[in-house]
Amino acid sequence: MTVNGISNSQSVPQTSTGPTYSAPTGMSSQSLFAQLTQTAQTGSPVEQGRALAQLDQMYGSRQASNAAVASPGAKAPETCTVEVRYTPIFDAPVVRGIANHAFIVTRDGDSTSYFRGGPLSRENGLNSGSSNSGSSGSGQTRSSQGNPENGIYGTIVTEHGAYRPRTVDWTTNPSGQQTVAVRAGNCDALDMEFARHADDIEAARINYGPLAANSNSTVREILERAGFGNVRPVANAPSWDIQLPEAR
Amino acid sequence: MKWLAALTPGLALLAACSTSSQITPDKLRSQLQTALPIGSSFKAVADYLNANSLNDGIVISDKDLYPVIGKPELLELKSIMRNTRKSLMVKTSISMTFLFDQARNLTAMDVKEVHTGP
Repeated sequence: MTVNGISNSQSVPQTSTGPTYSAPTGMSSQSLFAQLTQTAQTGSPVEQGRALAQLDQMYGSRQASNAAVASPGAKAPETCTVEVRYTPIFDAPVVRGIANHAFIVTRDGDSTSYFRGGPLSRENGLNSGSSNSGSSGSGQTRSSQGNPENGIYGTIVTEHGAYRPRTVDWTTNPSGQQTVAVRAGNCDALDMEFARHADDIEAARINYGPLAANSNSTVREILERAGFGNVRPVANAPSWDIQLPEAR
Repeated sequence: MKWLAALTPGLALLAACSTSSQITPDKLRSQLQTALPIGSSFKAVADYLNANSLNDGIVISDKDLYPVIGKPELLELKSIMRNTRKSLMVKTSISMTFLFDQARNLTAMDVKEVHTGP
């Protein structure tokens, strides 16, 4: 999948339930749909059959292939793309790739959302915390600041919401990017599921450690709990495979 | 990643060499509360953030105002000051969230640190 000119991507086979399809590297699902639709309309009978079967597989129903044969200008049914993106921990070019921070991005026709984890505090175990002012703040107030039991980084805290400029993980130049799955329909249900798993992980009050349970473990855990169990990172992501406890 | 784990004892030392700017969330919150009292217009907030380089280098405009998920009566503007503190393994930014009512008047703000590590 190529987005915004980013080519460091890789499709990953999935074991999740429900219709999923991973587009070939370098091709968006919309481009693939257009190509298959054209083949379904103008190819040889064998090519047409293969294209229609591939459309069915891609969207998990006959909806796409029916649309392809019904209308020359057929528009692809909405899809939800699940990605993992990476930002470097170290900025210096020589060491830029040796450790990365992973986060999840979901995209459909209407929205782009992110799901991430990180430490509650920096090395001194302190954090400014969140302080709302006004009548109806939306931020979460976290109460485990500076608790020695939680180590120098505190617990894992998670965030999710619309992914756009000025989001903490916003980048147009990720150090890695991979498409985990493309599903038929929008991302609403999957976003809610990812958000629930992220909230559960924060509620479990798991101690954060850069080389122990960390943001990469959190991403892998969210994906796994949502049924995406075989995702391998395409960038160096320390502690990706560390299993997070359910609760403390 | 064993080699990385072997570096752990040095991390604490290097953490002591972390960089930090003078700005803190408390200072920024106080600054914003003074300059942008509850009831301020979206334009006043956007103008202030743009004028004071609190826009992450991208000019804030109307298109940056989004409905809050689950609270359609509220509109949200987010901004961020990146890398206000940086150590070997964790970068710290200050996140700002401003909530507006349908008339685009400020109803709440939230200023907090967000940390990014591996």
